[in-house]
Amino acid sequence: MADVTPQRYGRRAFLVRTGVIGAAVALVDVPGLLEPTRAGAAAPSLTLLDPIFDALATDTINGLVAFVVPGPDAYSVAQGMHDTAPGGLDADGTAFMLNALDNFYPVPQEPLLMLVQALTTGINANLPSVHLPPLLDDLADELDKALQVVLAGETSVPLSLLVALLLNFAATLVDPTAVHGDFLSPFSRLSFTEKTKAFQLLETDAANIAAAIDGNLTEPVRDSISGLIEFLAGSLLEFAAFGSFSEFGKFDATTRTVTATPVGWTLSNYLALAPNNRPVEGWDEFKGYLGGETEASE
Amino acid sequence: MAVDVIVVGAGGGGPVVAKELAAQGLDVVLLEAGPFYKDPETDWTHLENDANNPLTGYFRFGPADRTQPAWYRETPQNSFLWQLSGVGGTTLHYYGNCPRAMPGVFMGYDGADASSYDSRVFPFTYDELIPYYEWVEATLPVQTAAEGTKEEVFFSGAATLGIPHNTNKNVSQPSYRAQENAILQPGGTAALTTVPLGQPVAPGGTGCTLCGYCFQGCKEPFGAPFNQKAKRTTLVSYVPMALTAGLAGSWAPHGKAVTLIPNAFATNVVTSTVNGSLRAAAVTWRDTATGASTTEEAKVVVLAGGTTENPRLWLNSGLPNPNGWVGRGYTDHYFDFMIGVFKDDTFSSRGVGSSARVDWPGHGGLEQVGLPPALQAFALMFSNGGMQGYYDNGANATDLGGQGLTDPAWDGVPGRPMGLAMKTILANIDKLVNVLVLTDDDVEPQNRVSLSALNADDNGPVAKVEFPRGSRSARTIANREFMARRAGELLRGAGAQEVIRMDWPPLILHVQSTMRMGTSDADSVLDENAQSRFVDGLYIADNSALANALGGSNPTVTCQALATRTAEKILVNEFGGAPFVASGSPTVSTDPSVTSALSSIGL
Repeated sequence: MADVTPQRYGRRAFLVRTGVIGAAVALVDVPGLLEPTRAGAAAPSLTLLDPIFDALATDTINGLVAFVVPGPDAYSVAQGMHDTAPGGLDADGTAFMLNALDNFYPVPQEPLLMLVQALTTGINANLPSVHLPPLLDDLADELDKALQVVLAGETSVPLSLLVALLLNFAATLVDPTAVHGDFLSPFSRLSFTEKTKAFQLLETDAANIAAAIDGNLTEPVRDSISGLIEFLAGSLLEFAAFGSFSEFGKFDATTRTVTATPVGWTLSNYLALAPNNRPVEGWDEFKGYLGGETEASE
Repeated sequence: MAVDVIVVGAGGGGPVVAKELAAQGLDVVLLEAGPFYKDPETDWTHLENDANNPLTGYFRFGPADRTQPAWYRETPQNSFLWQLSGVGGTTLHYYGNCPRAMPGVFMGYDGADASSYDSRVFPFTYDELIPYYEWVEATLPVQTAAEGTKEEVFFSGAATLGIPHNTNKNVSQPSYRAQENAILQPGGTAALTTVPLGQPVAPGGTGCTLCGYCFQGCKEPFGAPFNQKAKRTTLVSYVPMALTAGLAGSWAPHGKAVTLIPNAFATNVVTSTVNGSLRAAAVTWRDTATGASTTEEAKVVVLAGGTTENPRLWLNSGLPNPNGWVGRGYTDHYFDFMIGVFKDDTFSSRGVGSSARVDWPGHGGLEQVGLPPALQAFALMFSNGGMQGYYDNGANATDLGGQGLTDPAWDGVPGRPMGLAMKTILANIDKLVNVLVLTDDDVEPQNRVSLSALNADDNGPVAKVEFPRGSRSARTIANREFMARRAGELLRGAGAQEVIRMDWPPLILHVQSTMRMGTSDADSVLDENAQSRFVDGLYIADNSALANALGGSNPTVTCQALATRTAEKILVNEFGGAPFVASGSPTVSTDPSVTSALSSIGL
């Protein structure tokens, strides 16, 4: 018998809002995806879902990087703030973020999983309801089952996916119509001003978000989760900027040198006067000593 | 058989205690959680992501194996805890700034402005610490910084503030000066010629080359011996002396070389009961590569693992905390950051990270900061003030004490400049001058380290570092507002076309006082000798031992002076030795005898 509990509708709304269903529709053969389940398989195939999650995470981070360092790319154009000069996407900012988030970011998964789980079950009843055609309704059920497996910690979850779900959820709070449109990610569909509002929500309402989404969160975990949202909001911006202006996109890990001048160096006119536009061992920069004093007195 | 002393942590403070006690012939083991960089010229690059990425860079808080994730600390607010593991600790990326503390933060200060400082003072006088400052300043050594273009710009602005040029090592009034830096002054061809990457500077050039890469690790002058690198991180100053004490031809003929164990994360301080009192007896550490655990007994244990990790180790070891002050009283100089955009070149990306400062007793200070572009971009996105023109995140009421978002000292409102505005500011990094606002912030119990309820790693439950937003004392907030206005005035006086105020959240970089010494046993962990009030034979010798925020002065040299004093206390009180600072004369760490002894051990 179909699950008709309020939690089910909340989780389904979550899947729509975070772009998971949209990404699935865009990327996979939905009837094919559903076939194993219709044939009686007990659990959805997580392997089939991985490409959906990967694509959604990448698309969301693209929208973030273009927000922090706009360039001439489609994401910058779509947000209504773009530039003829290269931007963060040209600097491989997305690869930088995905690598950092998925391989090295030492945030423990447990609180983030709790956060996302809380979001999936605790979506406020006051939010607009989500109506899906029958086939997508079935898809939502299958994706929901898959997500429950993921959130139960039975499989490894890339941090980039959790971040994407969070950004996309915030995006649909700013603009509920962002569940439809170009790109896979609701966050990436927002205008520049709307993206600032999504971050405003995360920065200013983190405690309320943590408190409202799940009354089961107790101290000190609730404080930790709201603090984690605030920390994440800030560090996503800082990391996107750092990566975009670093040597990351032109770095040869074998020689630990740059293979060409990194985008961020050109954007900032960094080392413009250095031999070969590369770092130096020293500059002819000595101007003397303040007041001619080479030694302070006791 | 127990060694004499185990020192936990080879950062800014631990190697000082290790070197001084080794010089006196004690048997010392020095543990370090991170790697031992034996060849900076190949270990390090001048590349920001390779060096400073807090997750993957070689200067991160994490294991030596960079394919493994960094070590986590919970920071449940917008903030950034920027420290690193490795022999040398955070002195590996520091700027070598060595201002002495403000005299007003010590017991017995009776200046006219005595009421302007944190009431939680050091449990001894400023005058008592001066011989230890002199000892450290001679050992590192500390020298007056050379000027480049960005310093000329900074000083031209400082001169408009109506304050004098201070030429003394001590601060007695609002004034500006060249930094006293643990950086060797340029000599020979250094800083007079531009030297391409990979080309030798030494021996024709000595000291600082003004390359601009203090934060990525100093390997200049390229080709110079290990202990004659320009920036005097403990890796190239105190550690080489510790490792060569007692060797043939050594600078310390009666010494005993320290046993340095890198990649050793201390996980437990073992105690025993002696004559009815708890006493430190041993330390357990975990090899970060193999996971193997080792316990070694010691007559004395010195914690120097850092302001965040010492409380964690203390609490994970189950050591007593009867007054609840273990981990409390975290001070961070409540930084703010001001960026001036200039019409003419400032060459902000060249030269020492910071060579110019303003001291303002009772309020804090300012220092000029040069950055390469990725860190400059990070700095422009680091804010509690929201996004300029979009939202202010409640900054006025929460961070600025209601003094208003706007002021003639800066343009617009504090916060992140977004999108094309950020790109425009960063369009020429060599036309910027950054000013770091150093706040004389109060010791407050709610700013603290505790154990995270969320997570543990291989080394035990991790540290949770809390700076609850909006809870700073009125004096702290007033000091920050005062200094931010002076920073803006300085930049305008220097001719900045635009001044941006960031309203930084806690950048936990100048870290002090979580295991503080104090005059009262009600709000301090350490007594006047830096020994624990609760466990005998257990001392602390890094920034966490400092009584307060030093009036806003960068903490390392005071930490090192205090560590020297603590080493002397340990020698006298625990081993029956004689004081050595008043009667001795220190050997400078660049001494050729250290160089030759190092070569005998392959460094």
